[in-house]
Amino acid sequence: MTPLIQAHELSRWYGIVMGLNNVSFEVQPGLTGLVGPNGAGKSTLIQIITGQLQPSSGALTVFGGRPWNNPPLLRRIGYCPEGEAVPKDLQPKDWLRGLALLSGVPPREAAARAEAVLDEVNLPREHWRRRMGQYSKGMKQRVKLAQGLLHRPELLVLDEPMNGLDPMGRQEVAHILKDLASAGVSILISSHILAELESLCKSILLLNWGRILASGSQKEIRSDIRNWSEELEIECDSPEMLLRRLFDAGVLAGFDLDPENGRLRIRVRDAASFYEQWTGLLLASGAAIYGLRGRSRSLQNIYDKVTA
Amino acid sequence: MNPGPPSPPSPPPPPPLPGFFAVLRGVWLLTWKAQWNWRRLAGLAGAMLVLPALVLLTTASPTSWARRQLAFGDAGAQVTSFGRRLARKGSPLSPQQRAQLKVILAEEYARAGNSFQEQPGESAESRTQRLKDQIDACGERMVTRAQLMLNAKQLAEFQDFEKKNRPAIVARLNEPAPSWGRTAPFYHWLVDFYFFIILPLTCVRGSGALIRDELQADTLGFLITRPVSRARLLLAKYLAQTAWLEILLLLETLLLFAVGEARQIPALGALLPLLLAVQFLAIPAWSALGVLFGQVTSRFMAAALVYGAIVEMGIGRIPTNINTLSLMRHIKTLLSHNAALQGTYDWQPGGVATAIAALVIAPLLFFGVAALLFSLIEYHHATEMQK
Repeated sequence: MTPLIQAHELSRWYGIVMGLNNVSFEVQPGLTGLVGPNGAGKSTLIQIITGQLQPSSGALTVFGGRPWNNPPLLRRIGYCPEGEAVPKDLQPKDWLRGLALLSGVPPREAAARAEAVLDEVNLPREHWRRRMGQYSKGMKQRVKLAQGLLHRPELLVLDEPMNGLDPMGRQEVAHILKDLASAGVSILISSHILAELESLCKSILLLNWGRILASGSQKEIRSDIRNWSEELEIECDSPEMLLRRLFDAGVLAGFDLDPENGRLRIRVRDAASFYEQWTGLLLASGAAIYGLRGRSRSLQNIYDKVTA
Repeated sequence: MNPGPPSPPSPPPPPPLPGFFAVLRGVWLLTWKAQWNWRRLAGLAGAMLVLPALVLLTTASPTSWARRQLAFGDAGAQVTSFGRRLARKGSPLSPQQRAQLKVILAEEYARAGNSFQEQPGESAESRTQRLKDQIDACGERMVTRAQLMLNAKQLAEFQDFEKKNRPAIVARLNEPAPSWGRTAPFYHWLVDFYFFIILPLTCVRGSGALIRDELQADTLGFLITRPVSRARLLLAKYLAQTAWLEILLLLETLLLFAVGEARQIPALGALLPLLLAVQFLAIPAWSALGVLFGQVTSRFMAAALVYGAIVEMGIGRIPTNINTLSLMRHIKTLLSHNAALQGTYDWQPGGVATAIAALVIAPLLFFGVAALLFSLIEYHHATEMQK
């Protein structure tokens, strides 16, 4: 499959501050999440993708072209910026109509298109005649999302679109995005809250300190990081014996023993090597296992680790 | 054979690239609609009425000007004031008495004015003393003549009223006479203040904020990610803003001329078309300068004031060819073809074609540089441009 976005040794700095540090990655069509804590470089990357910034070095292409000062390419990209800023003195229909004209929607269709996208983001019609300065955060997010859909983009780039939304609102936006994705629109969505994207996006880009820490499908990311230290909680009849075996095998990076409750919490150095030896070590220890919980299997744990 | 999972449908093709007039229409809609609410319109109307109100208050009508120029007093005003005083005391003037008294006062004020001659080289004390003597004599004559038509009570009141008025008349006559004519304040408001200060600053303020306000409100991203080149976007914004300013300032100019008409300023009919034509050229030039300053610095108003001090007030007044760098110099050249303004200002008439060419080329130049900057500058954070 041809990647939508390709970055090669991409860097961007602001004076002495590094926004992006020599990153290379590809984004495939579909729903992709861009995750990282505040200051990770998400907005910088998004602004390069949407043609607002130029790379300081390296290259980034979208649909095979460079976005900076490239109107034919920008016609294929929709963008919803971070924050709640919308023109407060305008009504949403007027604003969207003006932006539709700027996006190439024929003047005769601009008003109808504005109404259509407002319907698409489920902004109740009774609010259409209010000035946007009077809107709640959630309503502003919806209008902002609507303006990104005006010209039916092939790629929709959303910078923290869930901010300010209540759980119902988040669910609704997620629903809208899924509908768009099923209609063939590719979506790149950023968030500093991984849980928002975990169920929505099949692919994730993990970003921190201007570096891509992991990228690919959630499964691929887990596979990529199998060598990372992993934490397990084991419930058994003789945790001391099991601990001795594990210690002798040299697979532990740390442990926490609770003999009264028959509980052993271990951190392993090399998860892949550990799981290869695990069955043999368990049999050799003679311990009876009642429970085993891996604490690193959720993407949230991975995210917490890499952003710690 | 398993055909595999169905591939997602491809989205409908995006619309074509927008034409320039569609962009202009979109930007005009965003500019115009943002202004179109009662709160803003009320504020705008209030601001637009301030200057006409000031002009109305400070420009005298022919009647009040003539009254002010009377040497020793205004007979009509004095009789009205004295009539009110008598009415309060319970002994009002009859209409006949009022008319007779007005004639007496007018005649005696005129007589006193005619017999008082300015003497070159005379000291202020001596002049004041002569004025006092003249006013005393004038007052005595008025009282003597009033005895024949006022009753005793009215006469006593008149004597008191007239004596109390004397110091005020002396004080007024000692004030230096204004050095301007009746119409001069109107022209100074219209040309010096409105045309050369308010109009340029309004244009620079409005156009300098075109991109700055979007940055401040964090809404620029919505515009610069559209499939429109930045130069074209800025051009559309500039033209929409200029059109808006042309409308607003046309209304303001018409309001000022309406006040001039109300104050019976002569020959406004000849000035209005010339002023509107020059204004039509000046607004795009000042606006383009504003756009350029707005691109260079967030303190574009301060930059405009510095520019005004150095180029317009400094270089523009140097009596050599270098003053052609000043836009005001060219505006004055065009305005100097009006007879009424020629009487008020000593502007040197110059080539009309050169002045018009300068006012057409200047905005092209200013805007060209601004568009180039806008195409090169990256706006990566709202606070970035606050520097």
